[in-house]
Amino acid sequence: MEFFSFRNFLELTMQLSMVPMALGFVLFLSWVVSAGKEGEHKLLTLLSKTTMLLTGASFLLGCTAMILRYIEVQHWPAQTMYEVIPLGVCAAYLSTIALYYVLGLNRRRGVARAFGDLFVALIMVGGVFTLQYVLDLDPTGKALPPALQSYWFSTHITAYMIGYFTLIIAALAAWLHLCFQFWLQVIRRQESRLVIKVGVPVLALIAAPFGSIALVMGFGVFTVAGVVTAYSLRGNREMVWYQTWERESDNFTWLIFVVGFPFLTSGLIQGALWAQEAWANYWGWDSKEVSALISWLFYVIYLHLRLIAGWRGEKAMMLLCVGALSIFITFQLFGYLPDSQKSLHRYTDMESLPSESMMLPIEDEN
Amino acid sequence: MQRKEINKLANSWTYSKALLVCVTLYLWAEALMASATRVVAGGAPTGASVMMFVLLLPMFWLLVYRWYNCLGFVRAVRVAVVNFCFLALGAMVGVLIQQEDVNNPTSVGDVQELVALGELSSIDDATVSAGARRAYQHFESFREAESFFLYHLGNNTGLRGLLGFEGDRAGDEEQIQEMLSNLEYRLPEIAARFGAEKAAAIRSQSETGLRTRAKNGEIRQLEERLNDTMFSLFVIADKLDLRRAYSSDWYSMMWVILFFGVLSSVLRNGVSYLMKKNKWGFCITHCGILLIILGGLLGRTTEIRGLANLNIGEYTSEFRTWTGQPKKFVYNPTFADEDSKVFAIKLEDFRADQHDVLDIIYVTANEQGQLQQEFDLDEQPKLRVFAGLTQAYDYPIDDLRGDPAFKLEVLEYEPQTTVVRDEESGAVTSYQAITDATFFDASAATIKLKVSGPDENNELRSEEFLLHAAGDGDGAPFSYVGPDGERRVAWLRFREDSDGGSMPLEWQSKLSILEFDEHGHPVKVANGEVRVNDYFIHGGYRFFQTNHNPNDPTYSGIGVVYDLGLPLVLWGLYCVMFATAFIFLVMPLIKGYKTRGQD
Repeated sequence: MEFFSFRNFLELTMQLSMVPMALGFVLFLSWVVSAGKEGEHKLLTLLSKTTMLLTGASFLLGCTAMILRYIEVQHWPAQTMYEVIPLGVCAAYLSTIALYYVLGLNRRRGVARAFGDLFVALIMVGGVFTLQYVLDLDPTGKALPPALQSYWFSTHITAYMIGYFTLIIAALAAWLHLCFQFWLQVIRRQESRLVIKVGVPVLALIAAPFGSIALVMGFGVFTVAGVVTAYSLRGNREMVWYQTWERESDNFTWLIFVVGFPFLTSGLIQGALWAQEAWANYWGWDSKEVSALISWLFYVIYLHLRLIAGWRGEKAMMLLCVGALSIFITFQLFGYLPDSQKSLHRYTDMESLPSESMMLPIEDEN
Repeated sequence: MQRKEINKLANSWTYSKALLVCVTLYLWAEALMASATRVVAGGAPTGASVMMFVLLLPMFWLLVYRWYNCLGFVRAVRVAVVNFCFLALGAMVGVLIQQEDVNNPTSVGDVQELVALGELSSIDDATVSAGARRAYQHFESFREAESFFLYHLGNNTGLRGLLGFEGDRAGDEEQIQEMLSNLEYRLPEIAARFGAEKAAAIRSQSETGLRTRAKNGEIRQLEERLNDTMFSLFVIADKLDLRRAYSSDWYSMMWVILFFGVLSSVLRNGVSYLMKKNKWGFCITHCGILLIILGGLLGRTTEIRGLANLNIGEYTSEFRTWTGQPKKFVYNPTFADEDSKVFAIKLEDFRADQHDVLDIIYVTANEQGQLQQEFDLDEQPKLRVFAGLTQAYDYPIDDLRGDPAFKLEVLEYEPQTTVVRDEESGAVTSYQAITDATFFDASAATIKLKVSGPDENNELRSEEFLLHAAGDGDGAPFSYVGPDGERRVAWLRFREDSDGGSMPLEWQSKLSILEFDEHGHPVKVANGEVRVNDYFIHGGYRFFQTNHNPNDPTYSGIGVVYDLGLPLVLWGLYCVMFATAFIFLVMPLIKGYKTRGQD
């Protein structure tokens, strides 16, 4: 395999992503263990900043991979899932870096950095799992069909990727908060609202059949949050490292939404503008278009409930989690929907015909 | 009544009350339009007329005597949220229940005729009406789509047992594993010769293909098993318009409520309120939504959509709508009358351009000295060609990151050329790029290819070839010694990729518009070219590239669309997109910048 090839750089990106992922987890656990102890924790702070630098390096490596793919296939690499998903991972890394500053995680001191480190580590888990999945997909580069040869091709899909992955990050932030709230209330035997008491375990279970990434991010995070909460609260202690996040998580998730929503809107509308040029029909009620519209409507409902009806806290965060499920269905499970068989958006599917001659019994050759 | 009082009325709406009234309105719309359709279609039967009157009366009363309640209703946030939820639910229904093909719909009564048959197995009888047959075709498609969805839902969530299937996965797992292990045994050589990507592609396609084949078998079984249930579901979905969710009256009602809700919330605090700088974003976004809905409504009432089938040199003043009706090309058809001027479109030229590809085929000589493919692959590797393309092959089998033995590089690539060939060998000796060629000049491409590999003495040997893609394309052999010391021959063929499954690079049609003089003779008045993503406008119609026939290179299908609402929709879309970006991205940045400045 050539060194300067997309596949090689994808593997390198995945391997490099493992470093901030592992470092983030180690740092988080270190913060949890050292919570309440005095001192400036200079080393941990330095390592925390290094985690972000390594995330930046993974992003650059991912971008290099995309440029190499662009050279290999001679078009914006967003036609097959083998190309679109890495583009999405790059978008997720870019969002992580941007959000790190938008949310002010870089300015936190001491244990207040703990949640930021866990947050980054979990995004990197998502990145590593996703890239591992991509490497098993069919890597054949396909020529662009005439309908995709448009200036909208790159901007429409890139806007969607940034929107999707940023909103998934918003859901992840909300999900982390909800999991810790659930366990806090269970362990402290507090009166909890139905949205937490029932909603959180149900969401953890609902996500489970959606593949290994959803299992890790849903049930895995839910379980680990329980263990960490139990450890942090041992002997009637306080979850010091969590206090800043608990106070600000509602605003944080809102800010992440604010970054992602315009990209989601832009992706949807660019799709309509493009369809108008390609098929002279800005809206054909194609099942992919409708799935995307459902996700968008979902976030519009969240927006109005939060801004006008005054929904805050857990209720609003729960909506963000369900919104991420809707995005996942549109992005990954759309091909299973009844109406998807006649969709005009099936470019990303490969004709998967088994290579019969390569699978004949071995003894036939001799 | 004062604005404040109406706002107070709006705030008094609860979610449950909003839900009840919204559902009532959706049902009201469905019932009203059903009776209206019967009145129009059936020569105004008394029952339908009375029903229509009864349905309209309370609405008129509300609008005239309780207009402030109506205003409070559409202005209520909770009503908006409930309506949004129903819009999303309606869209979900459309995604989960296979929608009727708008270009091939069933007529009213078709499904009832099919139900009246009783036995679906009698569908092949000669006495069965065309309507029932059409409905049956729709049912088959519905059953296939729903079974496909249901199967994957059960299969992916581990509930195969509920669908009546045994085991964890579809098919004979033992056999699939054996086939895959046979494949794994052969893949290292493929990876060494063709590169790791080719091996990964074969592995991925083969496993997916085997599993899909096994799943498809089970889906067919499920279809048969659920035939009766699916038929009942089909009939219900048809009766409730769930198969036509997006064109149904209940769904239209949701858009009507949304329209008045948005309009009312924009004007909630008067026009002067909207003039405030921090309300511009809100105002533009919501006006954008209003424009989109208005444009959509206008489009739905005036749209004409069809296809003109033409061969090169032909012209026509008529096209067929998607439902098969013939229509004349008249200027601005919404406002046209019998005296309106008719025009025609003529297909001056058409071309489908194919991608240029390079096949890389390892060949060996058999006992009779004939060349044959070394690897019996289902599809031999091919590269899409462009200037500067480099590719390496034949890596050491035990070190795929080692140095490749065989490299190729495309030094020059000209898409339209003429060539000079050697009279004896037929090989291209030189070529000339046609610099003034248009898209419709279908001359083939030429490449200058450099290939290199070690010879018997392990010295690097390079060779350059000029290959022309006309006809079946030019081929050239290159021999070298592989990393294992074996002599190899790679056959390189440059051609146009016109395989059955391959999409062309581009289709393009050259059109002219003709008007008719007083003697009925056509006179050319305009020219235009259409390609996918680039249409041509004339007389209010948009002409776009829709169809082609690989078996008839002179044929072109020209899509025809007339939609008065389009400019409104486009303005609306741009407003929503830019205003959302302005509100959520630009404004916070400006505010943050100003705040930092004050600090």
